[in-house]
This record gives sequence, C-alpha cells and structure tokens, in this order.
Amino acid sequence: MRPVKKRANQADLPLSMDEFENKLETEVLNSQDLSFTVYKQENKQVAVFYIPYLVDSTKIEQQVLNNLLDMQTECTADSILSEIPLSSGEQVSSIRTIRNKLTEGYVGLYVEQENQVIMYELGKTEKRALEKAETESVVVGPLIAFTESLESNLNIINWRMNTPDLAMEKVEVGKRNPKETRIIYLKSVANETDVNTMRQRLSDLEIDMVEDIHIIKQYILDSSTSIFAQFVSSELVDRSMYAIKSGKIIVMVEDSPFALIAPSTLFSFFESTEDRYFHWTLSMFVRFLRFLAAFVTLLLTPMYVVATTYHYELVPSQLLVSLGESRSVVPFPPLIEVFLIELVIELLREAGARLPTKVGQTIGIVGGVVVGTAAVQAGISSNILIILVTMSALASYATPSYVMGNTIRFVRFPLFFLAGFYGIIGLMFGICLLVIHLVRLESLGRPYLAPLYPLRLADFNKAFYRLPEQTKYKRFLSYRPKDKQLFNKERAAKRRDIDE
Amino acid sequence: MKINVQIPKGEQFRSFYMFFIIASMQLGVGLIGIPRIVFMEAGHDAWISILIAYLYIALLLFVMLYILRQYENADILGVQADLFGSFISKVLGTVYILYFIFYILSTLVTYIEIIMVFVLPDSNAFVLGCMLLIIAIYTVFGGLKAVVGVTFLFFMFSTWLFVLLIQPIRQMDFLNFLPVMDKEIIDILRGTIAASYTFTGFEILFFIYPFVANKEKIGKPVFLGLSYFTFVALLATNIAIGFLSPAQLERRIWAVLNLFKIQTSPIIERLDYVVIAEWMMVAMPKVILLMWCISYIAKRIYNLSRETSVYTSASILLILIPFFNEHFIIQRLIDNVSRVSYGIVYIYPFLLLPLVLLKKKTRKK
Amino acid sequence: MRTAKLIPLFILIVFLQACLETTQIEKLAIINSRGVDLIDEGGKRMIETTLIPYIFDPRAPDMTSLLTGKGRTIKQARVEAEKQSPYPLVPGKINIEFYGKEAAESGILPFLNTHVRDAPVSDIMQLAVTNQTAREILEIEQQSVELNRTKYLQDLISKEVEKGTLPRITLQFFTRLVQQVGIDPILPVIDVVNGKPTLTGAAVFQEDKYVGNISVKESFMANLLRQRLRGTPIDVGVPRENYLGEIDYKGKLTENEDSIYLSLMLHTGKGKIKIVDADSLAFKADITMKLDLLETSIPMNIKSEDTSRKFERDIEKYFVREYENLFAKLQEVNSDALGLGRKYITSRKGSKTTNKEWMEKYQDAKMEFDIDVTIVNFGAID
Repeated sequence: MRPVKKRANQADLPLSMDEFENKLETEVLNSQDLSFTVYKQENKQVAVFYIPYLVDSTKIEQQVLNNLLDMQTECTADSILSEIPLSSGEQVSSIRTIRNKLTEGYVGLYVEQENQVIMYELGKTEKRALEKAETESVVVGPLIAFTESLESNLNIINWRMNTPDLAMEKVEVGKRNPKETRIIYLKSVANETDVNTMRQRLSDLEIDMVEDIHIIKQYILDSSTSIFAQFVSSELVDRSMYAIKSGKIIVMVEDSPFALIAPSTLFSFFESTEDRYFHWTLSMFVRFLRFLAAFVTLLLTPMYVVATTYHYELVPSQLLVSLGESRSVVPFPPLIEVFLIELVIELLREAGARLPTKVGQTIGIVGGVVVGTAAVQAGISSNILIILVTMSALASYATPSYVMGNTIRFVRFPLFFLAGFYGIIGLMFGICLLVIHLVRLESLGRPYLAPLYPLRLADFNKAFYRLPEQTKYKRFLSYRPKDKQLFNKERAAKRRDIDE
Repeated sequence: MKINVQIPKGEQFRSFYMFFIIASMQLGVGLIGIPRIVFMEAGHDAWISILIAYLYIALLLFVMLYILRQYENADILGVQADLFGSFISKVLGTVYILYFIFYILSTLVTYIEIIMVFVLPDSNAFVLGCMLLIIAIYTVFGGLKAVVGVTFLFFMFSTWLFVLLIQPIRQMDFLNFLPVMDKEIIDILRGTIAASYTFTGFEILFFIYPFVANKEKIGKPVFLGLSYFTFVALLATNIAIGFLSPAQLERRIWAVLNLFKIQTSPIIERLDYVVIAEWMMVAMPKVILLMWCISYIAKRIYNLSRETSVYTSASILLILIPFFNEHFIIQRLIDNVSRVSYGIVYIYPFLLLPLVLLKKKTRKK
Repeated sequence: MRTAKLIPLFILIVFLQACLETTQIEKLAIINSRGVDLIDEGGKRMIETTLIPYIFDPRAPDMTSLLTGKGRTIKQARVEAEKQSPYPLVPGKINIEFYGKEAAESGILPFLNTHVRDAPVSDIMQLAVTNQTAREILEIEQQSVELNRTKYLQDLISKEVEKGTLPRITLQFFTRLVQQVGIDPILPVIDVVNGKPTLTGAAVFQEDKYVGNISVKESFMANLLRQRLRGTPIDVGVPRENYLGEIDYKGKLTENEDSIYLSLMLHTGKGKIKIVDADSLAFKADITMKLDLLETSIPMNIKSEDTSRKFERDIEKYFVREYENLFAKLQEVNSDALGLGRKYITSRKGSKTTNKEWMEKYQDAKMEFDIDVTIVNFGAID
C-alpha cells in the first residue's frame, strides 16, 4: 500500500449514498454540472463524481472506471487506493474540501458508509501548443514563445536552463482568486536587494485577481504616472533567458504568456535578442539605427512645426521654395495640419491592429497611400509633411519593443504642441522635461537611464554598442550582480603568436 | 544648528560627478558674453586674463577644500556655526540665499533676453521664465540624485555644440593675436576681474561637499571641472578674437553666438537657432543647482520644507523676471550680482581661512 | 502628486502663448536678393532698394517678384517696398545683396548696419558690387535667366569663391575686414554683358568705399596672400623666343604672337607677407605655387627638366610683374587689399595705429615679390 496523506477526521462522513449526493449538491454551487454516477461493485455501491468539463474523461475511463470494475477484492476506500495506483490519490473526509478539489479537476470515489472519499487529480487544462512569438518577431534565433500555462512555461525555462542555481520562488497574488506567481532568477548572480524588493512588492499586493502579468506590472511599477514602461514584458523565451543570465529577475504568472523582466533600463527596450546572434558590426549598426529612429520619431514633425510656424530661417534655401509652395495651399496653421495627419496615421495603426491580419494590412497600405495622396491634392496637407509623418511613423516601428514604440509616438504629441506654442524654445523645453523625467525614473529602485546615468562605461558595451562577444567579459554592472565576471578576460585574450 | 551633517548613503553621489557640477555651474549664459567683456579690458591679450583668473580660482578652491576638510562632514553653514555661533551663521546663510536668488535671476533674465533678441522677439518674459522655472522645480523635486543626473546629462547633451565651432576656427585670423602683451598689466588684471562673473559658480562646493561619497578623491574632479571651464572660456574668447575684428567684437554683446551664425548644415540651415535653444541645457544646470542650494540652506537654517522654499523662491523669481526687461537694467543687475560675488565668492573664503586655523589650534589645546 | 501640481502652470503657459505671434512660412514674403542704389531725386539723395522676395501664392505663375522702394534710410525704403507686397517682408533669407556703383562708392557700411543688428539675418549672405545700378542687375536677372533664377547669381559667385579666385565675400567677412585696421576688402563685380549677368572683375575697397576695379586674376593674386589655395585655374603668358626648340607644331604659326599661353591649375599655393624693415616700410611677399600644366597655346614638347625649369622661371617672372602692377594699382587707389597694414601693426607693440595713420604710411610702402613656382604635373604626355 502506498502511503497517503491523512486528513483530519471530521464529522461529515459516513453518509448513505443519497445523503451524500444531496449534501454534495447543496455544497457545490453549480450542482447541475456535477456528474454523479453510482456503480454496483460486489455488494457495495460506489459513487464516481466529478465536474465533466474540468476533467479528462478518457483518463477517467481508462484509469479509474476500468480498474474499479475489474476489482476482485472487496470494495473499501483502502482497496480502491491500492487498486487504482495513481500518484495523486488522496483521502478526503470533509465535504468542503471535496468541493474545492472538485473545482480543481479532481475525481471523487465514494464507497457507501465509508468515512473517506478518495480523490484523484485527473484535471484537464485547456492550453495551446508552443508557438512562435507574435508580438516580438525575430528573424534569427529561437522563436519559441511562452504560453498561457505557467506549468509549461516553467517547463520550458527548466529545459532551457537546467541548473540548480535557478530559483523559482512561488508567491500567491490575488486575494479572492489567488494565482500562482513565480519569481525566477539565478541565485548566484541576481542582486539580492532586487529579489527582495520584487518579492516584497508582489506579496504586498492586495488585489482581487490577476488577469495578466500586465496587471501586476501596473501595480508594482516604481512610478505609475510615467508613460514610460519600467519593466520589459516579453513573450520570447530567449529574451527571458538572456535576462536571467545577465542577473535580472523575471516574474511569471499563471495564465499569462508574458514574462516581466526587471529591472529594466530605457535602453533595454531597444534591444532585440537578434543583436546577439548577428555579427557585432551588424548589430551595432542596427542598434544605432534604432536610436536614430527614436530621435527621428520624436523630433521630425515637431521640427517641421517649428520651421513652418516660427523660424523660416531654419529651412534650407533649396527646400524653402517647395515647402512654401506646398504650404501655401493648406488652409490650416502647421500645428493643426500636423495634428490631423498624425491622427490619421494613428487611426490607421489602430485600425490595422484591430482588424484581422489580412484586412489590416490592406487598410494600412491603402489607407496610407490613398489618404496621403488625397490629403495633399485636397490641400489639407503639404506633401513634405506627408513624407515626414510617414518617416517618423516608420521609424517608430523600428523600436523592437511595441510598448516603447507606442510611448515614443505618444510623447511626440506634447512635443509638437509645445513646438507649435513656443517654437524651438518650446520644443527644447519639452526635451528638457523629458530628460529630467527619465533621470527621475527608476525601475525596481534601479536608475532607469543606467548606464548613462549613473555613468558606467563598462556597461556601454551592452547598452549602446556591441563589440565582439569576447570583449563582454563582465555582466551588466549597473545592476550590481553578485557575480560580476562572465569569463576570465586574461585567459580568453591569450592567443598564440603567429607561427608559434 | 549641527556643524556636521549626516547624509544617508542613498543620497550621496560619487566625487566623479563633481567635475560636471563645477563645470556646469560655471558654464551658462555668462559664457556667451565673456569674449567681449574680457576683450574690452584686456584687448587681444584676453587669454592671459582668463589664465590669471584660472590660477586665482584654483588657489581659492584649494582654500575652500582645506577649510571643509578641517571638519568631519560639514558644509559652509556648519563651519560658520562653529566659528561665529548659530545666529550669525543663520544671517550669513540668509545672505547666501539672497545672493543665489539674484544669481538665478541674472542667469534667467540674460537667457530670456537672448531668446527674445535672437529667436522669438514677441515672446513673453514671464512665460519663458515660467518654462525655465518649471524645469528647475521639476528637477529639484527629484532630489539631489536627479539634480546631479540632470546636470550630468545636460552637460553631455550640450557638449556637441563645440563641433559647430569648426567653421569659425577655420576662418580665424591669427594676426589678431599679435602683438602679444599689447596692453598694460593693469588692463589685463582688469580683464580678469571682468571675467569673474562668468567664473563664479564654484561656490557650490561649500554646500554640496557633504553629499560627496568618496571625499578623499574630490580634489581631482573639482580642479578638472574648473580647468574644463577655463578651456572652454579660452576657446570661446580666442575664437572670437581670431574670427571677429576688434571693432566687431567690441560691439557684439553675445559674441559667442556670432561664432555659430556662420555654421550651416544641409538639413537645418541656421544652426544658431538650434544653439540658442540648446543653450537651455547649458544654462539650466546652474539654475537647478542653485535652486537646490536655496532649498537646502532654507531647510538647514529655518527648517523649512523643501517644497515651501522651492515654491517661494520660484514665485519671487517669477514676479521679478518681468521687471528686468531692458538691456541696461539687466546689465545693471549683472554688474551688481558680480560686485556682490567678489565679496562672497572671491574674498570671503580667504577671510575664513585664518579663523578656521585659529579655531583648530585652540581646539587642540 | 508633485507632478500634478505643475499642471496649472502648464495650462498657464498655453493660455499666455496667445501673445506669441506666429510667422508662418507661407504668409511671409521672404526676401531672397536685395539691391541698394543711391539715386538723385529732386536734388535729394535717396536710397532705392530693389527686393526679390519669394511670395508663395499658389495661383501666381511665378513665385518671385520684384519690388522697389525709395526712402531716406534703408528701413524706410523697405517699408515703401512692402506696400507692394501682400505679406510682410522678412530678411532672414537674403542670400545675396548688390550695391550699385554710386551706393558702393559712397560707402556700404551704413546699409549693412541694419543687417548686423538684426539677428535673423544670415551672416553668410553674399555681397557684390555692380558698375551699373543694382536694380538693373536684378531686373535683368528677373527677365533673362530662366532656370531657378534666384539661385543663379548666388551660384555664379560662390563657384568663384570655391575656386579661390575671389576671397570670402560673406557679410560676416566683409564687416570684419572693413573695420579691421590695415586690410581692405574685395568684392566681386557683376555687370550685365550681352544681356546676362556676368562676373567682370573684383572691386577693391578703401574701408567700405568702392575705389577701384581689378581683374579676376588679380583678385586671385590678392587672395593668395590671404589664404592657402588649391584648385584654381591660372593663365600665364611666357615669351615665345625662349622655347623655339620645344615647339612641336609643324604648321604655320600665327606671326604676330610673341607669347605662349599656358593654362595651369594651382595644385597648392600660399603666400605670406613679411616685413623687411618697419621704419622704411619695406615689405616682402613670399609666394609658393605648385602648378599642374593643363594646356599650352602652341603644342610643345617638354623633353627635359630644363624646359620645365625654364617654364617655372618664366611663370615666376610673369607673376612678379603682375603682382607689381597690382600693388601699384592698389597704391594708386589707396586701398590696402593685400593687407600690408595688418603685418605692420602686429609688429608695433603698444602703438594704437588707426586706419587713417596707416593709410598715410601706405603710400610710401615698398613691396618686393619673391615667387617660387614648381610645376608638378604635365598631364599624360611629356
């Protein structure tokens, strides 16, 4: 016989079969859902009960019913336990516990007049198969993405990083409907303060329930007023693995296919996992391109507003003529003009995102071309503006993180309003505020602009440019990882001389 | 009032940032005018005047650091409290607050005047003042960490402006510097005095010293900061002398901006507009740091909350700004502030030194 | 929370901005070229200004138009001209400015004063002089030049500046030299030849007054003493009798031609003025030129190094002669375009020589020219 956990004996049982059924039906809320079947075995009545949509019915048939009906010995709770050798077998005696177990996907077996109910876990959870990441698309490198099932996510992580060093702390979040949340990090690398902060923030949460990791994210942010995302959330397994490896912490919650990576810097939103797989010159180029794109998105249209509204001197003489000509047919001031066109672009983007993929693409292209051309012909916008707006929209999509791309696009609106109100000085004022805001921001108590401020030149190799992997013998020091060294530089740098 | 201040570790910053603090405090709108101011007195030997100013200030910084090092972790208020007692220290602290307010005022109105002359002639001084003060307030409320960070980043983001000086450098006429030592020594010294307003700002050391984490290493960044500014001032002055003729330089109030006026780029034709806007990042760290100083002093001597003092001083500034709307009134303000700075910044530490030494001796006995 | 407190201030800014007047690009008449003339009207000296602004009217066939105005001051003339324009005239994009002969002779500094004071005016605006009136030039430009007319003149001049035949002619550089003691500026002269604006030479100034004309080549020679140059085409004539042996032309030569003309390209060249004796006002110019030979007017066979040396000596002689002529010409019109005075003043410590004092001395100045020519390249044939 297998040892089973014994529960404290309560006065609920034994009952006769009818009594038991009645009692169970009053306790279980959706009683019409309960499947309660009574089988005659020898001279005893055995009830098998479960909630059909929570359990795997083929498993019940194969593993429970078959064994039960084939039983040669007399039917008691103990004999059932030994005859149906499933590891999850438990003896339960309180109706309330039975109820709870049923809703978790257990099957119950009750032999008449016994004081124990035997329960097996044969639950089935609906989950999808592992798929490619949708929101973060990569060209090179592992494409596998997390799914909604925490179990399989943990499985993937363990499979990708099989080391005793890996800690997967469990925290329950949610008062009414607690959900399993995991803090995953490398014990010997991750900074302890960060882990403690994260644990503290998660266990301090007093919310009803968590639909998705992004709910948690919003509750544990350092600054909830800031539009800048302070944690990277990624569905890419690869990215999370890299984060763990470099000493960051990731948080995963049941039912969410996203992992929260903390702490994060502004610059980590411009990283893509591909950067590490490409040759370093390429990835360096791409990285600079992304920063450039962010600048272009932020400044292009505001500069247009500045130049056309206040400082015509800024426009190159060659461009002045064509700009003036196309502006002269537009009846609105530049600010309104830019606002209208930007709004159109944003609408196209939103519509494209909501519609099914195929229709969405059509809307994007057709809308962009048709609306743009029509706007110029109708004299609502100057053709130069159309080019600028398109360029800046395009540039905003070059940011690998969708959230950050949206943020940058949003920040542009106040910037060009300021530019429209106070010219180049207003624009500069906006930029100054933006810089100050970013300096003040923190992610899990760590500075958001690291390694730019506080300055740590050693980390520039990771945050801004990427020299060959051989030069990256240190981890990201701004987060003060416990283990700073990635490998020994001296040993790695040792080379043979020519012809040696 | 306590002589030594306890600073929690989280609020301290590394001495490395002192370089940016000292340099940023000295940079600012004063830099735009320095070529002309010094040239008026010292002629094309202005660079000698600036070098003399550098040596004097280096000595002064040495004295200031020496005074501060006599104490465990004190600022100037603590030193004064130790020497003169609590009451006089409070009076002197108030003098500092007033000086700083007028110092900020002179910086702001000069920058606003430049904006109004060069970029936005119809703009409203009050609104511009509002914008600049919002920047300062927003930063100061982030605490010293944010103040230092913003100083550092603004410094970094505005350094590229030097690249725009390539064109004027190429058009320099080195004959303008000959003959060397054309003027009398006394004229050159007068040039040094004229440059002093631009050089002020390093007095921040007296207040920010307790917040430095590794104080034993503070000397190097402080002197490098001063040297950096001296280099920039020399660069600006010498390019202006070489690029402009004496008659031009004597009439251009903001000579440095004239240097940027000939630089063009294919995308933005007139970079001087960009430079003036970008100068916000050069001018603002000074205002931010001084604003922080004011709130720090007010907290220390009157126990006022940071918010109260910041809002009060900002309101005072905002009310005063519209009154300084004429070029000559602004010049008079600058003259007066620099006159006060001779006393507070350039002479006072030397007066303090023997007293501190005396105190040290008596304490030993 | 603290951020929330700043919101009222933001709103304040937005409301107060109503005072800020916008200058939208299409609602401006952006002046592109300006001409200044002095005219006589009823015995009074009046300033006439001719302006070519961009006026962005979608219905008009032409974006530029010609406006003129008269007034006692240049500002007044502009206000007068503005009456013909639907939008305010703004000076931020003046790329080129012309001075009529009379205006230039009377001194152009008063006309520039408003530019220097006005911050939006570009410092890299080009200045030029014409022997006709500025109005004629601009009218011709408006009528005759078909392609991108507003840039035509500008490119015409800046091409020469890039080649090095003209010194820098920007507003900034001109005002710098005008007020510099001991050096006088040079500006290009553009006249209408055969109905087209053409660069005919350069104007030398005494301070801000137009005093004499020099050729483009002479302007190049003066420029060479100011800065290092490269890539300038040069034409030189050398006496034919020295090269009779090298002429590689079997046909009949034109009889009355006693020079061979060489077309050369300046590889690198620089010149420096030195003071030989400050008291007797003796100056010396050291000029080195490295040249590429591009073309000879008579086909020649340059066989040996000797020929090359002979060429070099003759080119040197040619330039010494030209420089001496130029210097004499400049002394005659009392313009120190070569910048002797700068050298003189920098050697006099503590003296405050004014322009007037120097100009008196300038008449007695003597100058020697020492020219060193090397031909580095003869092209693909020898």
